Amino acid sequence: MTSESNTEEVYVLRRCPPTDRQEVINAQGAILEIPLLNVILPHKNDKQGLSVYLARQTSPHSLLQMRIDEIQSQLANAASSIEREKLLKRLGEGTVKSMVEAEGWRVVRIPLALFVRNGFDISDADNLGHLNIIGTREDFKKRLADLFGDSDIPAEITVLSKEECLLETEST
Amino acid sequence: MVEKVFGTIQRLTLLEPDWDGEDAPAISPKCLKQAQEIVHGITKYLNKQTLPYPFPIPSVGPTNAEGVFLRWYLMETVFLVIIEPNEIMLQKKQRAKCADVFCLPLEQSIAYLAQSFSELGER
Repeated sequence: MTSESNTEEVYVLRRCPPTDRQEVINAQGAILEIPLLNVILPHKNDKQGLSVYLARQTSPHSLLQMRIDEIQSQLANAASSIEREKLLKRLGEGTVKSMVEAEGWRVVRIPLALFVRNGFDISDADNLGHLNIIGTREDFKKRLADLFGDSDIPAEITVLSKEECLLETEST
Repeated sequence: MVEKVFGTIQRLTLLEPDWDGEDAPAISPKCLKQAQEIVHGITKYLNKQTLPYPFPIPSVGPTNAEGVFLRWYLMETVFLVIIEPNEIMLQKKQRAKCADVFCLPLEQSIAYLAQSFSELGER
């Protein structure tokens, strides 16, 4: 899945942690921002590049639910009370609705062609629609520079609305 | 004004590990120090110049890999600096043009930014 023609109008989804958490903003003052660029840079948990899901196979709601399921699975195996406490804090109320409405989680939709155009290889998708945009953090910082520089929300990346994030149906 | 920026950078230490809910580490003290040195270095340089605008205040934020980002909007140019433990990456982007991207050591990063700001001020 590496040619641009194959990826036209194919979108991928990625979770977007809250960028306007009140406790952070209040603590920091007006000029601090949590940049959206973090969303399109591989995280330490991204093992083989940037982990994303095909929008046509995974709904925004499912993508957020995956985080809840993952935390609940970690909780079941938590070895210490400290770890358990940390996971419970991360879990919050443990519903997609509360993640979106109370905590400010969102999902971003990105055209796959954006990565192909910038020279990234794309892995094959698994049966859940998961795939990796292959590259190191440095590759992403350098090749997507034009995207980062322009504004907080690059034009090609759509931050889905609250309502869209709660949708349980897949899009195109 | 510069103290305010320093304060904002310092406050990034308040972000505990997992501040993004995706297991992001705390911000590296080395990156915080480098961010402050960049702001300090630019101020020191620009104080010797006569600029037609006040000292530009950057946006400050955390990166999810222990780093700090600084972003300045000057005229129609955006300067983005991503300071992470293994490198300092600078990006200069002018509207409708491709971004210039490069990695420089700390001292050269300061010199590059200070000179760029100064040149923009002279136009």
